[in-house]
Amino acid sequence: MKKLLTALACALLLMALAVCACADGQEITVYRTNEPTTLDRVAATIDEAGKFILWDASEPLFRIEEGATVLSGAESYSYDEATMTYTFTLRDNKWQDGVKVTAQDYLYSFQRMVDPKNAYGYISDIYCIVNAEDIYAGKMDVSELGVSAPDEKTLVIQLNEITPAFLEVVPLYPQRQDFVEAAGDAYGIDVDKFISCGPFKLTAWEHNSYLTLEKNDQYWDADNVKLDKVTVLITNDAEAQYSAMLNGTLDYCRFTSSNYINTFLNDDRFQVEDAVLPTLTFVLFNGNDDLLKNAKIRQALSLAIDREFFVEAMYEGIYPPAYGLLSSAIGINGVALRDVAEEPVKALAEANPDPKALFIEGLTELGMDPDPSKITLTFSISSGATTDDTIALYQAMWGETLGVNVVADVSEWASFWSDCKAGDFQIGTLAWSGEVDISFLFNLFLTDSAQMPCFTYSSEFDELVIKANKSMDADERLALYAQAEKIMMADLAAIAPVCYRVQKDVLNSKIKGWDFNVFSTAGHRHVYLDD
Amino acid sequence: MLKYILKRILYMFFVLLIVTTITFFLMHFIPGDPLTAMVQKLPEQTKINYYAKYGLDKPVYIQYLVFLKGIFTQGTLGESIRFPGRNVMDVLQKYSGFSSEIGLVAVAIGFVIGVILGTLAALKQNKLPDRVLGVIAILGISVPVYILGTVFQYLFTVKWPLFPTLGWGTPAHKVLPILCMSFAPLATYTRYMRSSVLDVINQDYITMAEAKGLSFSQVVRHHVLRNSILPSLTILGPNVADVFTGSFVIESIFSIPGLGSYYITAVNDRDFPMIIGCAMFYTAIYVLSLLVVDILYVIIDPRIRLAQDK
Repeated sequence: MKKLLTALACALLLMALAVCACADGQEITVYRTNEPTTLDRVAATIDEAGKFILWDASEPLFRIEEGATVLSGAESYSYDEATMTYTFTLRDNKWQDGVKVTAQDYLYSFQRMVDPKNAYGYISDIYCIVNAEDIYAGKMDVSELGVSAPDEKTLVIQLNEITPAFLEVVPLYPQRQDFVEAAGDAYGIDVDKFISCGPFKLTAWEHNSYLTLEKNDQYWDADNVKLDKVTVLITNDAEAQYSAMLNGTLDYCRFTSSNYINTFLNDDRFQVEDAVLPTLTFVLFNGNDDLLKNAKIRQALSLAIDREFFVEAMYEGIYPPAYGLLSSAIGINGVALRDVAEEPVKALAEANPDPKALFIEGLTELGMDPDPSKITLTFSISSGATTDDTIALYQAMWGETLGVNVVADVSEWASFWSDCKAGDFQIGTLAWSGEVDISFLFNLFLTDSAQMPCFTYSSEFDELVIKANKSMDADERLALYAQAEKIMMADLAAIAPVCYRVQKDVLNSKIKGWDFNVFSTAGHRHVYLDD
Repeated sequence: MLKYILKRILYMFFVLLIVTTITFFLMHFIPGDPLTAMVQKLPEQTKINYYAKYGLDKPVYIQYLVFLKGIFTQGTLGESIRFPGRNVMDVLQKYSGFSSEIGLVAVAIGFVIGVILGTLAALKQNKLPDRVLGVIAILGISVPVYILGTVFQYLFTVKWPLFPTLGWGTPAHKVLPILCMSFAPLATYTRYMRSSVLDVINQDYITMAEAKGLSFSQVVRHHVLRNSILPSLTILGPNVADVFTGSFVIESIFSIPGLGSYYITAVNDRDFPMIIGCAMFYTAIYVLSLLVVDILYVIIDPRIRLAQDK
């Protein structure tokens, strides 16, 4: 028995030593919270984790780096406005087994995307390609798609409408026909059922535990890829991530709770960066309401929100206050709308220093009793952890500044949202996330889209947005969206922006070349460790 | 004996069939289907293509017949809907192995140490070892495995970095999960063993054995242990089955590629083939472990007869 114990103790000690003798070098460990469902970029079930792996293991024609679209798999491209045709010239890239990546491989992935058999889920993103919609509906053959590969290095894509965000939104990834067909249904679900052509190649995939990516020597830009290995752990437990970050198992982690962040802020082994999210928390006014149909009333309510105070009280000041529709994460090709246009509610506040006077003006215009204390507003909110605090804050802000009474109507999200959609509310609060395509949030407020039940629509706003959506000139688009934003947020005050969101990215302090932009598709191509 | 075992195995297939049928219809009655768990803005055309691909557009009883046909004619459980291309049978085979590497070892350790400690506690009744073990047993039963896992992870990977935090591959990766998972069984067996040993040592045949002049250790090994281990054996069966169902938390904390996370995702995503596959697997394990326990009964206590064979 004693011998057995001694042996056991020795074995444990050896194991412990083996663990500590970790290899240094250009290797990092990151994580995802769930297992990729597939690495087949055009499968119906492709998820964020799968896309994340593909940034490293595949080579899109373009990548989004620091918010701008940069050439990656394509060496150059041209766009002909008259025929709405993109022509891409490919680089001399190779698959991990040494076979050339050709235009045919990119064409093949487009053909699979529109093939009804594959039931690709994000299909509406590529309806802008000629015949894509009809092929997907089974009305036409795949061969009639407006994509062609006249030679090995040239890919031509023909669009049926002007799509300014084409390069950012459409997934331009290659897939190799012989490989995909050999793997059949199992393509992209295991390490031996996937072939890489990106900066890294997939070398191991232990489902629900980890994936490893190692430097791909066949990659066209391999000389500039500095990392030798990226390990992606699958872990969805915040405590486990915290422990793993502290002892150096993970080199990167993302936290939202300040409890965790403070540990890292005071430790020089780590760097903590804010990454601004494209999300806006806002107050939604029902423009059909007898009181809220007046623009001055809405403006006064918007101005009476003390946003600095709100973010300090609710989010310990981590989230930035919002005075516009778009956070600084959203823009066109690396230029954020916030870089060129001031947030409209700021100017509105300067023009109207006294919200209460504005509110009374609105009441008079409506022919109502000009005493705000006789007004009771119903504030709808979906139930969550911070619901009570939020209600108390709005009651305080509107109560003190405007002198109105606020009662709350709390329900769970599904019924809250269906009430809003039906127009059965007065004032509500919610958050919505934008996408890499700048037009996404604007389109929600178009009269015809009926996606955002603010019921304060404007033909002027619609015209500006539609014109911007069809313009290929980035400067002109930004200017148009800025005007539209001003109408929506200041002139009409259809909604009141409250705060944007940020996430805290915690990194090993040796890591350099990290892209914190939330829309980044750079992968770990430029990342390296520096002592 | 052999006849009895064969009969039990035959029964097992009936149980499997019943469980499968009930599960199949139950899961089709809950709201939601695999598509709702996927992309939000699916075009109508995609939905049509998808329902057709997995036969979800047919009435439930037809789907059930198709499913049975698959099992009996091809021996297949179908393909996961959430993870297309992954065959349910392959997933079960591969990942149950990982789960059992952790779980079975944990139960084995818990059983052996629990039996030893329980006996010890009973023999030293109301003395210090008994009290200490009593506290440990209560902790083991009442502290949730999630807390235990998190605390162990912090202590042994951050405070004293002896073991890897996350992942799978080396034996060192298995130490902490096994430790965490063995704690609850260990506590349970200690309690069971203590009370049954207390019962046995007051029996006349123990006094008899002592009177014969047997040494203390002989009495314990040949008379006390053998007679008092039966209650612990009884719960060993369910415990083994729990290893596969209850390992989800530990698997998630330590990033172990086990079956637990597949089962949970399958239920959440309404991945019908995977749910049925897991349910069948757990039923089979449960019924089999009950059979093994029944056989162990006979080996340990010859007074017990399996069948009515004389």
